[in-house]
Amino acid sequence: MNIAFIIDLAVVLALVAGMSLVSGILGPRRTLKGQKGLPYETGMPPFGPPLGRSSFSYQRLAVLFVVFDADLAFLVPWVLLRDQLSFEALVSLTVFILLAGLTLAYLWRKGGLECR
Amino acid sequence: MGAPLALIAGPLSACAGLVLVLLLGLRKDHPAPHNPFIERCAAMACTAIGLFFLLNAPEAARTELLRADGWSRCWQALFHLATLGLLATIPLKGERPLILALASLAGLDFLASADNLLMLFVSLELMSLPVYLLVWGLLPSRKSLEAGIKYFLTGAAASALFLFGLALQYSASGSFSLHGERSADSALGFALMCAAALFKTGIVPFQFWLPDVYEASEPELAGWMSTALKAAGLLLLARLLFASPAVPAALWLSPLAALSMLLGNILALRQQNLRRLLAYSSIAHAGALAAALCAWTREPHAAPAVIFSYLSAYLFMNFGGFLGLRLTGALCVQDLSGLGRRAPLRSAFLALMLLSLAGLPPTLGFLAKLYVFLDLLQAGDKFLAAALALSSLIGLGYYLGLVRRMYMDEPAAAAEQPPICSRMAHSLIAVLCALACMLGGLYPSMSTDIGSVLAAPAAEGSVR
Amino acid sequence: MGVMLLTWLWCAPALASALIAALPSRRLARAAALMASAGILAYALYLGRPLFDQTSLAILEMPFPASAFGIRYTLALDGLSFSLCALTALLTLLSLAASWKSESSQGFWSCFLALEAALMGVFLSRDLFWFYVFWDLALVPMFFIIGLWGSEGRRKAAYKFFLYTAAGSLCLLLGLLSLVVLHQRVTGIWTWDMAELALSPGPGRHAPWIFALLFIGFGVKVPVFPLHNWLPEAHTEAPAAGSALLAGSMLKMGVFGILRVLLPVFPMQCWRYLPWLGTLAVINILYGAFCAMAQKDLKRLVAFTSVSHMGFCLLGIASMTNVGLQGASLQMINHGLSTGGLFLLVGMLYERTHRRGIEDFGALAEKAPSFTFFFGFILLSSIGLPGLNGFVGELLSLLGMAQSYFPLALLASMGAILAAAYGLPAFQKVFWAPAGPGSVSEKVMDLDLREQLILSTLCLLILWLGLSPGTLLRLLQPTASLLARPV
Repeated sequence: MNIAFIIDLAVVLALVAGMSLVSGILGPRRTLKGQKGLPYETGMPPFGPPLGRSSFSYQRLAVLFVVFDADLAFLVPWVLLRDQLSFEALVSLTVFILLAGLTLAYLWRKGGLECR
Repeated sequence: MGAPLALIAGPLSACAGLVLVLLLGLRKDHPAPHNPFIERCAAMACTAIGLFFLLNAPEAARTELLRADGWSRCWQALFHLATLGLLATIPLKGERPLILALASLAGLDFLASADNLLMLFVSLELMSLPVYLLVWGLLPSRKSLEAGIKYFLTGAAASALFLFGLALQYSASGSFSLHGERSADSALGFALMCAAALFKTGIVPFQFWLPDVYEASEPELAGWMSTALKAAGLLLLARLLFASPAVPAALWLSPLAALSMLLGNILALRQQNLRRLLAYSSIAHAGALAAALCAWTREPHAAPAVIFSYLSAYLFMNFGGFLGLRLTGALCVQDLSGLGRRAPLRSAFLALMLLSLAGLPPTLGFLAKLYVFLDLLQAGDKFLAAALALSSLIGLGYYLGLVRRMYMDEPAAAAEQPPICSRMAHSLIAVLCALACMLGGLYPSMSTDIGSVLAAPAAEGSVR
Repeated sequence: MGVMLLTWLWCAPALASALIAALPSRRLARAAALMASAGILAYALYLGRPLFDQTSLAILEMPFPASAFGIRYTLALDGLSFSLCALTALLTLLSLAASWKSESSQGFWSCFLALEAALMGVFLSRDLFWFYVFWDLALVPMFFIIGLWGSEGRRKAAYKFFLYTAAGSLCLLLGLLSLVVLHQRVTGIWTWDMAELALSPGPGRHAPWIFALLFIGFGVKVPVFPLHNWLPEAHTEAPAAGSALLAGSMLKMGVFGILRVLLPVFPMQCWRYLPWLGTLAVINILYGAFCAMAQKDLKRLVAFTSVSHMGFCLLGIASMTNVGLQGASLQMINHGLSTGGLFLLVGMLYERTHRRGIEDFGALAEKAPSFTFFFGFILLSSIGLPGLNGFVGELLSLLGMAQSYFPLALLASMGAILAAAYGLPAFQKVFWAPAGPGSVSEKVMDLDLREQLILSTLCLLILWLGLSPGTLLRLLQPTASLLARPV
């Protein structure tokens, strides 16, 4: 256990504790009622009839998240191996990121990211 | 053009079109219902440029996953041609259908040049996924929703079959290659993958989804699905058959082909909805194609050209047939009554397409059928040749029934007559289809010439 | 490539047909159609001129090289083709002239010329692919002619006609393709040429079923007895001009096919099945005659006489002798003239009264003497009165059969007697017997000049062929002697 790790740990703990404290002091005070007050809060009510309906826009966001998350997975090896890869690979991945970005921009523009 | 570019010229042009349409789409924010002319032109231009490159690229190239040769280019050209027709005619509200169609075209192109089981699967998915949305999304109605979901669920089941077969094959052989040694263990894997291909082609035990989907789709979309996607399914089947182990394909495929031909045509006899009718007729045509495939496994000389010429003939006549439905506005059989007097040119076009589908000389359809007959007889497959003849006769029963209805029945009351579509693009493509069907039939070696020129490099075992 | 003289013989009517369909008015279309068909007849006669001097000649035309699978566009005009082409052109002209007064649209005239084009193509082709293309193509205009301009039951009749004959065509197609493929398998050569396929070693042990397929294919058109079901209805419901062309030219396609394809390729099989073919022919003759006797409708009666007379063609072919084959070929032309004429006559009667029943008429002879004359004349030719053309064809067919299988000839000669037994009573009832209560004879006008001209052309030809059949027989003789079994 070296000194760097202990410093790191201390900084993280201090940050988290500090932020919670600041939030508690500065943030609006309200009591959480209803669904918000539940210990497991996801944006979707966790209890209800099993075949109940859920909002479609939520599904859409979820699917989009999965799609772009999967795209992101391609970036990890590139980041790890960036100094060993050729110029060609750099160009390909840049094109790939640009395409993903373009798709995202299109979705945003067409209102696909709005929760209606 | 460099070798790597030759590999991806087709899909690249489709993707370029896709990017272009996306960029153009960025100009406007919320999707207002409009007919995006510029986007349509951009998509068509990219597809056409791809077609031009495909026709002018003689190099053969090969990597682990893809290979480009006459065989793949020939299919890609067919897909591009079909998609051009779709892009030109599909009714649009917003540019999204264009994006979906181009994405599917990229999948089709990859499928044609895929040389690896995994690549086949990926391109199969890329091809299918946008089409589920196209079926569901173009006509926002209960019926199209139902059709879209049916198509998606059955299609997903087919994909699952393919994936399962792929896994079995991998566990048996340890590779995704299409060319490796085959052990008896992989037979089941190939059977499952072939089932998925049969599903995509719409051959008999897996044909049930087809009429519902075509009925709910726009005619142009149904025309494209019945030509391009069917061709893709057949291509997949051919790749798998020639890679598959021990069990000879003719053993199990020929009864299925015969059943498809007969069942498709018999069920079409009683249909009232014209799109359903053409859907059943397309099942029968898929059967004829499968029969040609059976002959190919026995007699490998001329058959690729035969299958390709049948498909290209089918492209013109079936797309033309669906286009005829759009042009005349007819939905059910009764709508055709007395059409000959009301819209003589349109009904003449539809009649020509129907007679071509029926395989009457001197149309392209006759030539295509003739080649299949020749092929079957050459392979000594009398059973299938007889089934094809019988099914042609049954088919003639309803195609001719429609022609008779158009010309010899009294027209319906004026209030019930469907409106006639008069769009420039539709008429132009209809003229092209009509010319192809008539002139192609008068020049008996045209389609085989094209087929053999394009598929020449494929002759020595690229398929195997 | 040259001028492609023969190609124009089918191209000209095809082009004319397309042009006429595009003409703006129906009167213009009518005039154009008549002029075109007259021109085509003149052209056909002009092309056939050298054949009269040198009868064994065949004008061959193969402008293009062979294409895929050895398909090669080949036309040839020899005596047999020429007589049938001329007959077709003549009957088209006369039928169109006979329907001059019909109120039909441009399509009607266009369909007739399209039909003429297809028939010419069938009679000229020497390549089996093109033969089949024209063969099947002929169905389409006929389908429309029956279905659009026929009488009450036209829709059903047209549908039945098309499906029935298309079924035959499919058998034919399978047979032809098997022949070509088997020929290729044995000799290694792709060919669709009729001459090269003659005596082909290809069929081998498959010969019986290929023979059967081809025979069914051609037999539906002839029509041979169990396959004749489409004929009475199609003939009855078609417009007069359509029935005339259907009986006069289209039925000949079947016999022509047998002469050009079946006999040259399968002489041994034909010889082996001779008694059976002969029996079928006799059944055709007698069955047609007996059915004709029972008919109450004039048009149906004529339709069944067609079955009976085509039986004589089959009889002559089945004999496989020089005499019999010549008789069969001659009988084709004779039948075209006389049955075509009878259908036109019944059509003229129908045009005036809209009736066709025998009972609907009576004592017409007083009302319409020239009608009576022409009807009697052509009927006598159809019955086979010596001195008129029908007699020569039937006699030669019977003689041929007598040489190879006497009992069948004896049975078939009954047909000639029966012909009188069904023809004369009907004639007597319509023209001489006193008119019944429901008779519409009052309405019948006598023939006008146009109709008299049409019918006298036919009558002159009938008389000429009856008195001096030599000219035509010389044209038909080369084909016959080629096919006859060496004695």
